[in-house]
Amino acid sequence: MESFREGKVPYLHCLNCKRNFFYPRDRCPNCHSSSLEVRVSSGKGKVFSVTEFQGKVYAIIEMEEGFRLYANVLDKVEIGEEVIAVKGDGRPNFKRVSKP
Amino acid sequence: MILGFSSSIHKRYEGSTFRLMSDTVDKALEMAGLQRDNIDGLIATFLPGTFDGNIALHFYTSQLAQYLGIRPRFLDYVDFGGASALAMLYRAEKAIASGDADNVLLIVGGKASPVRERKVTADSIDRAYKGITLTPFDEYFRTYEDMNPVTDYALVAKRHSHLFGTSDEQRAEIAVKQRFNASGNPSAIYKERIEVKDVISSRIVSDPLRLLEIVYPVDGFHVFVVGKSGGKSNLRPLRIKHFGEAHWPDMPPELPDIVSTPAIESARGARQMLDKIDCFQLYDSFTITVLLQLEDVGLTEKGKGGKFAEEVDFTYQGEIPINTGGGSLNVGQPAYMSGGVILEEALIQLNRMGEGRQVKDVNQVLINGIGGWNRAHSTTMILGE
Ligand SMILES: [Zn+2]
Repeated sequence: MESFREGKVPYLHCLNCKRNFFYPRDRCPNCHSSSLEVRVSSGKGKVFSVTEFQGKVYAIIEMEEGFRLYANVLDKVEIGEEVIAVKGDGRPNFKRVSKP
Repeated sequence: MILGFSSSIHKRYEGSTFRLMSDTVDKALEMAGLQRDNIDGLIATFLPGTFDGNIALHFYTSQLAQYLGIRPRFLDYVDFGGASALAMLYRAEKAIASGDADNVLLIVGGKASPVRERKVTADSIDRAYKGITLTPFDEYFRTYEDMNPVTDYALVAKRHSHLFGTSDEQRAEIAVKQRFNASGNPSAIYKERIEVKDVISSRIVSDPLRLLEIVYPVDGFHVFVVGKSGGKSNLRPLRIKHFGEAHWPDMPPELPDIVSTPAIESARGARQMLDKIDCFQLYDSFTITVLLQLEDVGLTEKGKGGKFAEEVDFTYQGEIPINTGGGSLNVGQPAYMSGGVILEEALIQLNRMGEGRQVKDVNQVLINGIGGWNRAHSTTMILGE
């Protein structure tokens, strides 16, 4: 939660099968190994799907490291758009990566 | 076999939940030709907050039996959301066949209005009460702004359109055709015909899902009485000709994709029987739920659900009748679960009780239930003689 405040997205890496995942468990959901390590994502991802309700943007983000998570996005975005984690109030928040 | 069934649906029921349930049980027993004393089995399901506004009732099924004055030899609780009713029927038939019970009551429903009036849904009940967890990972995503299950299904609809070009108009066709069916169902709460443009111009609740694509949670129960044949019931002696069950516990971000449901697995054994099915009852919490099942049950291939919805006449008069009573979109969703609605409509069609929406010569019906936070459960059943 502290990491999200700083705009960082931690995740778990399985040292056995190399799978990355986000929702914390003490075993790898792929190979059930307990040989895990906490890493920090680059924060870069793409919108996997998105909806807007009551003015809020809620999305599934696919991170560069291959795992996906639910997040709120501060901008209106479309599927496939690049986003990056930003500082928030203790939850993953993303914003659109502005195009050059 | 099913000896009796009954339902009571109200937008808002003013009396106690127990009273509403008790009356529904009596109507079902009357059809079955049985008394409460004959009942020795009970299976129920409920979602927290949807019985009498409380989050949890300790030993829920025991309380139901206590209130109804039943002393069960067989008691079970099935917690698969909208997939529960079919799983309950399957389990009741097995219990009877093995001698664990003679007559089993199935109870589905509750009072949704206390939850509805808190402006949450049963899948976001933690937003109305403190100290409730919905997933093992609540800290990591129940802190977000969402409105599950609407936002969850909206994400699915959006991605389905992205991958397959499914249009809003194609989803709207589902609402329109189901409403046509509802116009012949006296117990539907929405009966006035609508057109695609009415659906498209209704308010967006969670983009791209609009108001007319979403069920209305109501107060009500469905009760089914299951027992051995040969009693006083006049219902057809139906049996389960196929049953499949599948559970995908993964949260959507961790699924290979979000545009599929476990119906792909639960319907596997039913797929070669599809051309012998006279009508289909598919879970319809949202238009997109029906669209996914058209594909996952095998009526069309993955990605073609939109085209199917647009081109196939699936009204009760059509070539492939689906949700012949209008489905939950028009009957309402008792206690945020529609499993009872689709099972009841299957029984109505099979027993030629369909009044203004009876399909001709119904001998086999396929029913598919979807349930659980994030479409985790699917049950597929074929009923016939
Ligand atoms: Zn692993």
